[in-house]
Amino acid sequence: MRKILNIAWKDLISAFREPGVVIMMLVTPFALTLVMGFAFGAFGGGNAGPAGIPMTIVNHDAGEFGQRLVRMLEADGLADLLVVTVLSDDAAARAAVDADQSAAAVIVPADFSEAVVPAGLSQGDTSGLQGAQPVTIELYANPTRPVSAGVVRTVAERFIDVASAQRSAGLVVVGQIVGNRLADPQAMAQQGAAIGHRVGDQVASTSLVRVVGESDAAGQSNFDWLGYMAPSMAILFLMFTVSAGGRTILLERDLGTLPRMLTTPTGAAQVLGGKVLGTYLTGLAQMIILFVASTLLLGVHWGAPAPVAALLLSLVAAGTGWGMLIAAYSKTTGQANAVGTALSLTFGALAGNFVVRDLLPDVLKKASLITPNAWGLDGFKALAAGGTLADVALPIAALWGMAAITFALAVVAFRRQAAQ
Amino acid sequence: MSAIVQVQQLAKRYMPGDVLAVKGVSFEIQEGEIFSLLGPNGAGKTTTISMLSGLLAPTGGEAAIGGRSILREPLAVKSIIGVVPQEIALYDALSARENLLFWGRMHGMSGKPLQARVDEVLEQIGLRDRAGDRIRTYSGGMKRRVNIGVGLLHRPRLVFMDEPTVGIDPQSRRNILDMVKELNRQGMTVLYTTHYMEEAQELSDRVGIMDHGELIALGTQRELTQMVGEHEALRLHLNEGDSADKVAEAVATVPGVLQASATDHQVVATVAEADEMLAAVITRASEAGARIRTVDIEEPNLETVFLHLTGRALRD
Repeated sequence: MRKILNIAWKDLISAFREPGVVIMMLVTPFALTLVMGFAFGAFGGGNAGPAGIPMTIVNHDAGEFGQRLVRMLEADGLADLLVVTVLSDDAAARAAVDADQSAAAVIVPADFSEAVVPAGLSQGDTSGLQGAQPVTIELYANPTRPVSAGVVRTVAERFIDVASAQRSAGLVVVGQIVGNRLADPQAMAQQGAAIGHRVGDQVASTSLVRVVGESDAAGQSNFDWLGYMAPSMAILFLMFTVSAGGRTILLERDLGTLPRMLTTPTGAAQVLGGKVLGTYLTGLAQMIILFVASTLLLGVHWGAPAPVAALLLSLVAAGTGWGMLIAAYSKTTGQANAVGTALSLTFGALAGNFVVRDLLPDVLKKASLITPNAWGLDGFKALAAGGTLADVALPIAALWGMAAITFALAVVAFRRQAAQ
Repeated sequence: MSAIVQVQQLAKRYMPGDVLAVKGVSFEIQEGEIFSLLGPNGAGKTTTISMLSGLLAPTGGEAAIGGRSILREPLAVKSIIGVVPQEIALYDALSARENLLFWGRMHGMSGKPLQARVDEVLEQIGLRDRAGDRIRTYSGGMKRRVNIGVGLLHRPRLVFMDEPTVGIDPQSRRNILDMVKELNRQGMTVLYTTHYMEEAQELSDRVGIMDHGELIALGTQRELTQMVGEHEALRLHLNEGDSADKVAEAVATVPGVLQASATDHQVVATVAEADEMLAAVITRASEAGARIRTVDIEEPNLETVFLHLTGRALRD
C-alpha cells in the first residue's frame, strides 16, 4: 500500500506543479463559470435572468386595444425587462430586428380594436359579430436572440390571451343585447367603446411580471445560473483531468519511468493501483478546490456538505474509470489525448454541461446516462434544491457501478498488453 | 569469486515470426567485477539487460541473479539489482531530492535511513547544492548523474548500466566513468553496456562482444585481443567528402592487408606489420582518391577484435 500511495502522491504533486494543468483544472472552469454567470445576469442582483431586452412596436390601431398594448409594454412594471421603441413604419421595425438592434418587433394591425369589438351593428342584426376577424399581432423575431425574442413573444401572447377572453365575453354580451333589441345599435357602439375601455383596463391591470413568471421563459429568469454552471463546468473539466491522468500511464511508459518502476521490487498491480489512485486524488482535489472556491467567492450553494461529498467521491471514481479505459485502449499518448478530449467534449454536450440539462430532448437525456456528467449534474441539481443523501442515492449507485465496469474493462486491456 | 549472474541460452523474440533479438546467449558475471557487453546499436545488449531486470519475459533460456531465478522469483531478483536505463527516467516536475526519495520508497526504503541515504547519494553524484531544484532545470550531464544515483540508492549488489554516457559532454562522461570505477572499488558488481570501445576497454574486467543478438566473443581484454593474433591496425583519417567505402575497398586489395573497413571518414586496415605496410596502404588509398589527414598505428584492441570477428567496424 505504501508504494501505491508513493506513486499516487507523486502524481498529485506533479499535476499541481504544471502551470498548464492547473489552468486546465482550476482556472478555466472557474473562469467559464464566471463568464456564464455574467452572460446570464447572475451578478445583476436578486433575480438572475434576461433584462433590458430591446424591442420595437408599430401600432397601426387607432382604437383602444392597440394603445393599451403600447402602454402596457411601456409600463414601469416591465421597464427592467423591456426597452421599447415605438415606430410608425413596419419596414423600419423589421430592419431594426434584421440589424440586431432589436430582439423582436411587434406590429399591431389597424383593425386590432375593431376585431375585439366590431362596429356596424344594427337593431336586431348581429351578423357583424359572426364575421369578426381573429385577433392577430405580428411578431417579427430575431433568430440570433431566441431567449429575448421568446420573452417578448410571451408578453405579447399573454396580452392577446387576456384580450381574447375579454373579447369573447364582450361579443357575447353585445350580441345578446343587440340581437334581442334591448338597446339601440348606435348606443351599443358607444357601449362597445366603453366595454373596450374596461377590457383594456383589465388587461393593463393584469400583473404582467407575475404572468411572465408563470411562463417557460420566466422559469429561466429565476434559474440560478451560477448554481448550475459551477458544478457543470467542474464536471466537464474533471473529465479532462481524469483522461489526462490515465494518459500519464502511457507518458510514463514513453519516458521510461514506468519500466523503471517495474525494475524495482514492485508488482505491476501496485503500479497500476498507484496510477489509478493518483488520478483519483488529482480529480478529487480539483473538485474540492472548485467547490470551495465557488462557494466562498461566488456564493454558490451546492447543497448539504455530506451528500455533496458522497456525490463528489463517486463522480470522481466514475471519471477515473473512464480515464483508465481511454489509456488502456490507446496505443500512444497522442491517441489517448485525442480520444480523451473528444470524449470529454462529447460527454459534456450530451449531458448538458454547456446548456441547461432540463432543456435537452428526452432522447439526449437518456443517452447521456452513460456519462458521469449526466449523473453528476442530476445529483448536484437535486442537492442544490435541498436534496438529501437519499435523493442522490441513485446517481451515487450509478456512478460507482460505472466506475466498476470501466475499471474492470481497463484492467482486462492492461493485462492483455502486459502479456504481450 | 562466485558468479552473481548466470545466464543460460537466454533468447528473446518480440513478436511471433520476428527474428530473434537475442539468440540464446550464455555467460556468467563474477561478484565484484565490471562486465561489459560491447556491440553496435541493435546488437541485443539492452534486450538482454531488460530480460535480466525483469522487464521482458524471455522467449527461451534461463538466468539466475544472486542464486534467484529471474523467471520464478522476479521480485527477489529486483531487490538485488539496481538499473540505470539508457534514457533518463526521472520526473521533471520533481527536484533531485524528491526523485531520489520517490525511487527509494519504490525500493522499500523509508524514514531517516532513506533521508540519510539520499544525502549520501547526492554527495556522491555531486549535486547536493542543487538538490532542491527541479530536474527540468538541470543540464543533460546533471540529469545523467541523478539517473545513475537512482540506480545506486538502495545499495544494490549488482547494477545494470545501459549506455549511461550516451549524448553527454566529455567532462560528464569522465565523471560517470570515474563513478563506475569507484562503485566497483566499493564492491559493487557492474554489468555495463556500451558501443564505445574505449569505455569497455577502460572499465572492464571482462567483455562480452555482441552482434546481431549473439555473443560472439567473451573474455578478458587480453584474451580477446589474442584472438586477433599479433596483428596491428592502420587507421587512416580522411577528409570529409572522401568516400571511405571506396578507399576501404581499394586498401583491401593491397597484398598483406588482412581486412579493411570504413567508418565515419576513417578506414581501418588490419595488417601483420604496420611499419612495413604503411607506404603501400597510403599509396593505394591515394590512388583511390583519398586525401589522408593523419594515420594512426594501433595495437590490437577491442575494435580490431570486432572487425576481425564481423568484418565490420564497431560503429557501422
